Amino acid sequence: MLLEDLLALLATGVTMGAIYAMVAVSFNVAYKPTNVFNMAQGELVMLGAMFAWGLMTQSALPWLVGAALALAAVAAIGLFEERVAVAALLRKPSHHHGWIISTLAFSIIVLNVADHVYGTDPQPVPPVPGATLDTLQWGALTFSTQQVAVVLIAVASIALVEWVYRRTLVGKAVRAVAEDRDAARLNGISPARLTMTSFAIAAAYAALTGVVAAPLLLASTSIGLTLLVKGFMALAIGGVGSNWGALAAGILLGCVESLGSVSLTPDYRQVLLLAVVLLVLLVRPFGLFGRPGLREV
Amino acid sequence: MTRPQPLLEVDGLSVGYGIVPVIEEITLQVGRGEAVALLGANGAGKSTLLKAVSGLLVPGAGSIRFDGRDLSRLRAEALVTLGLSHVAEGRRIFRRETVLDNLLLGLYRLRLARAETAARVEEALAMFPALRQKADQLAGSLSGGQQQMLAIAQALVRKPRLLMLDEPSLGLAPNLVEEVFRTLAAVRAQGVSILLVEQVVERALEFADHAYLLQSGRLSGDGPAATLRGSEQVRRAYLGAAAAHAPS
Repeated sequence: MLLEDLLALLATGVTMGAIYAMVAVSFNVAYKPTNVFNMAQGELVMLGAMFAWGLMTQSALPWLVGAALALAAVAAIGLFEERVAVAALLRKPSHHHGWIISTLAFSIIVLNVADHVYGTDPQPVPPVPGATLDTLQWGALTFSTQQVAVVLIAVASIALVEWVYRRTLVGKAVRAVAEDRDAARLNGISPARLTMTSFAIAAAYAALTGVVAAPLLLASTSIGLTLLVKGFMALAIGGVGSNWGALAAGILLGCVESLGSVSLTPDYRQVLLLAVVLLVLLVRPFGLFGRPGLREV
Repeated sequence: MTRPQPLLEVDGLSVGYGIVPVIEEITLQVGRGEAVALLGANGAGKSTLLKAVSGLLVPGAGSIRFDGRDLSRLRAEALVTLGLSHVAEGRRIFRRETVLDNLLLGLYRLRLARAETAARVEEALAMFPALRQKADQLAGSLSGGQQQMLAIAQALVRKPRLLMLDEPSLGLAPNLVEEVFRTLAAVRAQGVSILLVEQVVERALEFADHAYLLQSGRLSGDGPAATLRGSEQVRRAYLGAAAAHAPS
């Protein structure tokens, strides 16, 4: 393999890894105050991409306006999901794990409605302002500025999420709810309000992922499930709750997948990725950056 | 002896987990500036009563009034703004946050101005000098006694009118138990009402003005703390009816 080919594969791997990491971080944001893995997170990414196509391509709105509307619409859908598919179940201890089914059901409904509305054909979405899909040559490295934009947005957004959790009182309140829900309530912190906010933000973040990934992947109703699985893998390898861990794990998965594409069919690439997940979890059951006992009960 | 005007009034309160009743028809009062002890054996329902008052459990029947206001429809997180603070059993601080952040989280709901927040935190640290030295340390790294102090400081930083404490001396060395009670005496001197659940009966009765005895989820008696010290009634509340017939 030529050096140029190797670097091009790694550039693709890093870009895809950044997208997987963003999906994983959106899982984390919804998970933190609730202990709930939102199984619809992949379809929320898909909605972000489809809304971006509708608003930016069909309605010809400026990129920033289209992106803002897509994020707001998906945030509202995430909030709606929290109300109908999560909140009621969390209130009843006997239905405590019912969210697995209810969020999956929500995801299936979203997918079927989207299929009905948009059809199954992939659609183009314009790149981030200032970026293009044209390839650039920098020494032996070939890449597009949209790829650079995706990686930069992933890193910057993860840094922002971490800053909120570590430096702001609201972020610390979310961590407090994650640690001890009742103790948080006795201190005047409302888990219900933080849960709603977290679901809405996680949905908006998933939509952002869809908006920035769509120019590279094309907007299609089929991208949700693929990104859900890869995002979940990044979450497991990086360690649940660890956002920088998700980035490292996403890039690892993206690069393994990209390098595997040289000699493996898509089916075998999935097997390879699952093998990587299993291997990491065998050595580090809580992921590369996860902590045992993340939540005390 | 007449008791002060009531701040907390619990009337005919019944609470259970599902269909299993834990406390039934409890009626009690805590007066303004009064220290009240709630005594009883393990499983008598003392913690359940505190959880119902602080809104963590929904009553099946009866009413809870605080300063004349009905609390039964209010969520736990809303009660802190009324001046009610509950220090739950088991030092329920946030172990993964620093001491300082724990105090700031104690003020989360009140949305105070920055200067007032700083003043409240400073006041709490002045009351617990050991915490000041460890303000930037993770709360989980503190000793058991310091964690209990932090739990109390986290409640006091809100300047409550009623402080409810569930087993504050549990698992502490005797000298630390004394420190906890010295702190509570200082809090009480500021006019804060206290409702105390405590296993160290003699110490609780020494501290309190009035005490209620709970037995198997029901009130079995109450009276001025001084008259209950060493009484048969208290002994029975802890050891059951058999104690009445047992040789002393």
